[in-house]
Amino acid sequence: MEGALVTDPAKCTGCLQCELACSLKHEGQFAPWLARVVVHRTPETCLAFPNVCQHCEDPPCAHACPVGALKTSPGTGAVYVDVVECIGCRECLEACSHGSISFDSDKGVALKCDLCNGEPACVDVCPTGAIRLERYVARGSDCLAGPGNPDRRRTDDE
Amino acid sequence: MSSNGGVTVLHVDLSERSTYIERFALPDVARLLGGRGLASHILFRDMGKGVDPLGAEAVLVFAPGHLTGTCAPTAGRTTVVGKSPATGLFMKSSMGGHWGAGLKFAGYDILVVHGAASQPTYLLVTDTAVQFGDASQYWGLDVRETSREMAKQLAMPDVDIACIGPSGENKVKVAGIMCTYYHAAARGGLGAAMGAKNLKAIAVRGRTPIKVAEPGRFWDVSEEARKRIAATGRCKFYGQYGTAGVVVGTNEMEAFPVQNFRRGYMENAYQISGQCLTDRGYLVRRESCFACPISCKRYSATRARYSGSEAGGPEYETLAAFGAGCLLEDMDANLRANELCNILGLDSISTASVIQWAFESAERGVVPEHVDDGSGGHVRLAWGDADAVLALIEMIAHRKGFGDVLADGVRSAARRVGGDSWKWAVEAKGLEQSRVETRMAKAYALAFATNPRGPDHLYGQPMAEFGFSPEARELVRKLTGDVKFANPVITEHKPELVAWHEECFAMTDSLGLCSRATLSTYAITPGMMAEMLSAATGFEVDEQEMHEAARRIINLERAFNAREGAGRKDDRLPWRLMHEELPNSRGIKAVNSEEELGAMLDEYYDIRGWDRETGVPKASTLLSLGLEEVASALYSEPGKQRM
Ligand code: SF4
Repeated sequence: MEGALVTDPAKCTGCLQCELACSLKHEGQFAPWLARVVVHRTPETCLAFPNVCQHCEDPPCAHACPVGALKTSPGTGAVYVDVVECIGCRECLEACSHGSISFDSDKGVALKCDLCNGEPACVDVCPTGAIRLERYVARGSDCLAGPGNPDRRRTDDE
Repeated sequence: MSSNGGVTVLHVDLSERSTYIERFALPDVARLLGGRGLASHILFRDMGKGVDPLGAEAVLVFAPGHLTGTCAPTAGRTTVVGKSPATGLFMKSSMGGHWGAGLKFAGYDILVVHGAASQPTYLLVTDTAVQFGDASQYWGLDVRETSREMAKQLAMPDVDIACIGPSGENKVKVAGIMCTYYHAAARGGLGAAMGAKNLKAIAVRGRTPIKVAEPGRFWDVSEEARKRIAATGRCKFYGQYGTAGVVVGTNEMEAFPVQNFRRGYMENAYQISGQCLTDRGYLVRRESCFACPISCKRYSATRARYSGSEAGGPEYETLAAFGAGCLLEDMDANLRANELCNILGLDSISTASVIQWAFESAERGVVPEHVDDGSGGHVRLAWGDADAVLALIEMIAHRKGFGDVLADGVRSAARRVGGDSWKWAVEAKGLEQSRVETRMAKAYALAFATNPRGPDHLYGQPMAEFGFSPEARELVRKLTGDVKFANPVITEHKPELVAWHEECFAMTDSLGLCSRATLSTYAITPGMMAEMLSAATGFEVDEQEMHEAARRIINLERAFNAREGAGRKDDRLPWRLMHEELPNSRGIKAVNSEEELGAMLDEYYDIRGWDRETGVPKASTLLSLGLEEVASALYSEPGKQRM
């Protein structure tokens, strides 16, 4: 049941339902800056698009992590952060060319998508289909997750 | 919402450059639903009778909804409450965008502004500090420049800014407050009230999480609401075509206010419709306010003329007011007019209203055909002249030349110009009527007449009377017993419909939801709102209690006006609509006559527990709602008791 999040940036309206759902699910509260999905908004031109992790088969973030805290879930193929092992060095943020890893400076750990055990909340709530879950037929190296933007990577002390 | 479900109010005094915090506990939230309800309570308490809305003693309350910042669908809105410089009466004006959530994440539920600064000032509200900043570098900048420059100077790319444009600085009484670039708390001249305080902008940003009492239950009701929205045809329609999608249908019903309400139909309505915007490539993209899955908001750009003009919108009201009202049958010109109103911070309804009044006054010889533009030239007042419309918008915002006559609204302009021009000044209580042909819609007529802010659609929005959708017809059946009352040109049962819609609107604003979800589409019901509030606060409120709280809010707001001396005599519609019949091909005698309105008012006051003669809430009504302080404010003078 491996799959990846696919985005269609042109459909995104910037409603932030995905960030709100993600933060409620993972943090138990509404704190969109702690969401694992990041919506980049440019309010002057009403532009918005989501950035989600593409769960690379050979994840550069995992290679960069000095303590092996980034692991791949055998069930879903999700690359997730083991928060017990994460030492908060931010190497993975630098390594991800897609800008899909954030940082929780209160807890001092990296934040990233874990695919919600295969039922991603962001996909569930997105009203426009700007984020979808595509199951792999055959896993390849193509980036399915739409444009990333490492320059706009968000850390919550930004 | 504070973590205990209560409310934290930040009071800011601009004269003293001081702040203080006030807290409301959960039972107060349940009594007044937070948001607009608490804001109206604070306004009634802190701004006594006879205070100048443009004076330092005026109070301006910024109230995001109680659920703003959560995932409750559409709950991103903010209501601004104050005394209108245009009407001298109660005003609530609501804006979407993301500003309200920004204030919540800064750790505050409501912001109250007192006093006036001696120099141009901005406020920066974050979860670590409240700062009074020098805004002289932003004074004179338009809304877009202000928002962009402030974000840059503060080095906060994700700051959200509510501000005024030059019109608010110039205390133009048709100036609104803008947030998130293109979202407006437009009506009633609250931008002038902010300008009079020398307050250019309020920037908000924070990282304070919002917790709800029962996350699982809150998620479930939010999901139910999302599913209802996704399944409601009217919501899809507004997402597809925006609010301006209703232009064509309104025109076909001959209920489209054309040429200053002289006609109800125009030939080329498609050219100023949301369908044209979408199908002909003006629409650049759709946008959502915070947490809104409907996304009726547009971002549009000109194509043939006025190249490079881009902005949020236009909405139905803007296209109807400029396109039909001023006979500007050209989408490009309408988009430029919309952009100008947005960046200059003007209410597009009132701005277009004074412009069409000027055109009619010139046509009838009450003002000269050529008027001074304040820059050494002149403008020719002629229907449909795009150059004149665009020039007048700027003249109004800067009070230049004849624009100064128009800048205080149509009632004031008619008084200054004289003659019979008051007869085509389409206003009541001093507010220009929004673009609803109340001669063809009797529930709207009553709702507009009783609206404490003046004749417009955002206090009660009884759209169900048109029976547009299955949801609307079902509501009419539920409230009146028969779906046949979903007929706009009859008056039967309209007072009940209006009362329900006003109450639903009070809940909607107080929770921060959008009337697009709860009223015009009826996707989110009062029962769902009760469930949302209960799950969020842990304080059980049912649908009946929501209605009772809404009545409390409506009585408070009515009492604010009563204290200023307003009552039944002010519950009127514009002269033209009460005295001139709307021509139509359906053989309907379309007018809002004195008799017709009077009969509906009697019935409505009875429902509300207000005195038939004065239109003032009876003391017994106020006491039964637990509004003792309001009752004593209205009835403290001897001999005024009316139990
Ligand atoms: S939920 Fe969908 S439309 Fe809304 S911000 Fe997220 S990706 Fe964009």
